[in-house]
Amino acid sequence: MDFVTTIIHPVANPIGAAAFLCNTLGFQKKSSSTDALVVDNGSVAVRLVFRPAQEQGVLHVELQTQNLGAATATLLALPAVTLLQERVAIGDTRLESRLQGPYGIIITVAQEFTEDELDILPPLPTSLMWDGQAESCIRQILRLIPIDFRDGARLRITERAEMLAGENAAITVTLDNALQALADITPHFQHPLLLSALQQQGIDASDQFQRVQP
Amino acid sequence: MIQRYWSRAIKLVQWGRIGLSLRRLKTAKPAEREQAQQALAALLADSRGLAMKIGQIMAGSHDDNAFQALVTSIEPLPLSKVKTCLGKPLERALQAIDEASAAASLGQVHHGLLHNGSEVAIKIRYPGIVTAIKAELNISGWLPAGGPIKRWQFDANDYKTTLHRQLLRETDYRIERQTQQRFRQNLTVSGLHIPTIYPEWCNEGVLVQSWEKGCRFSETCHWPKQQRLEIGRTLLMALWQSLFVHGEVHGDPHPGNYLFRLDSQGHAETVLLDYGCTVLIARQRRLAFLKLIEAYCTGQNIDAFGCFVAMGFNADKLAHLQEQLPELCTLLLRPLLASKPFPVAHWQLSAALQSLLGEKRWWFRAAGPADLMLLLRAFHGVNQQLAQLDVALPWWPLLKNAVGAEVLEQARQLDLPTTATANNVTARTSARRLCVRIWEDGLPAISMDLPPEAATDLASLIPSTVLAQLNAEDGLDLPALSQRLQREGISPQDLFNGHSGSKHYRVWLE
Repeated sequence: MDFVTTIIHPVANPIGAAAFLCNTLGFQKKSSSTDALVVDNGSVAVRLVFRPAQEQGVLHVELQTQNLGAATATLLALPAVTLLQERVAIGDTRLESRLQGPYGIIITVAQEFTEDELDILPPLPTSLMWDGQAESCIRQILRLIPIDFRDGARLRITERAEMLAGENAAITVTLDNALQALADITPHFQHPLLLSALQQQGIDASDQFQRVQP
Repeated sequence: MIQRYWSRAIKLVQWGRIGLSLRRLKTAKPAEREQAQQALAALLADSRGLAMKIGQIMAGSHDDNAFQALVTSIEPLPLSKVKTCLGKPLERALQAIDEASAAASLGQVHHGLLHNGSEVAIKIRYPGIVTAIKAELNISGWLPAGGPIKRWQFDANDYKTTLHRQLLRETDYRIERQTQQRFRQNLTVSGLHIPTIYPEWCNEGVLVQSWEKGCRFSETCHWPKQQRLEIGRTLLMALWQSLFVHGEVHGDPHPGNYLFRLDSQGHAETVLLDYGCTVLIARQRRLAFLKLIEAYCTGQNIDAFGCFVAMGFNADKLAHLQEQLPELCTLLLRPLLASKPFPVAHWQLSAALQSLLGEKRWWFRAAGPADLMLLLRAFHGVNQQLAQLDVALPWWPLLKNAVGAEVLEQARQLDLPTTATANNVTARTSARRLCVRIWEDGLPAISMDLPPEAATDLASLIPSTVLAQLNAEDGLDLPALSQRLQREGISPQDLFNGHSGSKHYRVWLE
């Protein structure tokens, strides 16, 4: 089922609320009638309907940003915007600040961090046991793979290494299995970079990479 | 003489009650199911021998159903009643012997201590059990062969013969002794332990082997992941190696036949017990199966139909599934085709087969040789255990390792039989199904689709009262109709329409 979805915000001053949304959050006025004003930003529409002050509702708006500090400071510089909570951690990869705006509008400013920004090495999605050095080596080396491709690479290296372990009837993945999997699933042009990075870890993987024909 | 007939009559009543309980169990609502299971388990336990054996099969590898009582808590006979079976040499060699520690369908196990200090497990066959089994097998031979067995042309005699032969083999412990020694000598699977036999004390009714300690399977499900993985690997590789390399599979995977423990280095060890029920698979059959697996796993073209025929499947019956065979193989081999360790709990095979084949799945079962039932039981047992262990394992690499390069090469070299039969069958039977519809007061009452061959035996499908009415009112001559179909081929056509009271019948081939 396809619908055009609009969020309804009961507010004591629809005109003021519309002005705030348009001037600060990039909305545009779409239509107005005697009983409501509709604003939208291209992906979501808000229908502002008049209600007496005691019946005013709350409109939660979330803004995604790459710079939580700067975005929060910019919003706090606006009149009638105050800080509710600052830099709340949500899980391992997300920070939020919450601001009270005018007209019953609460603004959540959120920043998602990549594993690089957080400086963490996520665990491998393993099914078998892994030798400590093998796991640590692969988690480190995955840093060299562009972030957009990394989740896929992490999964494929793990699966491949575990299948290689199975060929020796092992339930523990060894460093040799892990390096061979790395060589098998990465494009050939990346091999010199990977070999060099492994050498910096004190690991010689030339045998495993030579087994893979270009 | 009177006593023999009386005993047979009692057995018949007992089998009748078991049959009734089975029917109740089948139709019970979930809330009543457990109660029905307990009632049936009690009946089967009362019977010892064949009935208890069936109960053990129903127990499968799950630890949470009423039939488990048949596996772990059957009341053994007192030592005084079985001691005479031991024989003088063994009695003299024993320093001590306990009351039975475990009882099974055909015998019970006692813990003994030899004068040389060795602890032994002494399995003693119940006195008189062989005669009882033979009598029960005669009765089971009278069991009806109707319903799906007839409709889908199961070879009921083949099934009965296989079951009878298997049970009688199980009553001779000399065969079990040899089998266990063969398994011990041949299987080289890491983590697998097979108890040592003491052949000097064994005879037809007594089996003496090393006493093994360990816990039951249900406990291992709470062990750390490494040990659960080790157990899973051992179970899977033992299955592959025994099937493809040695051609003989342990066919009795119920939990009472396994013990688990840790070795001195903390690795899990699986003790496999009870070699009474094994399945022998001839070289051509197992190599054909391996050939099929390897072709699918490596993406090569393969005559799947030819492989199944070489595995012992009936070509005429399998021909009904020829179109679906490639997809069917993909479903059956799914864990082996996975490019990563496969979690068995995700393998909804029954639902997938139902979705692909519907009622035609019976053709697959009917086409398979009778001993396939025992082999499937072994596979199913390992699957259940892997699911309960909650481990994912790399099936294809483990299989390759368990089997070895030489056997894989033999499978590649195997010549498959020509499969012209498939086309002949399809030509002779051009209809795809027999449709039976009954309306009552204008509303649909029964809608049934059957294999087209069922049209040649409509008399067994239609109730005799209805048949008599149709004959009288519409002049329907079923024998003549059957003969015509057999003569002219089973092609799409209307077979008959008729009325009987408020009911309207239509039967046709399409």
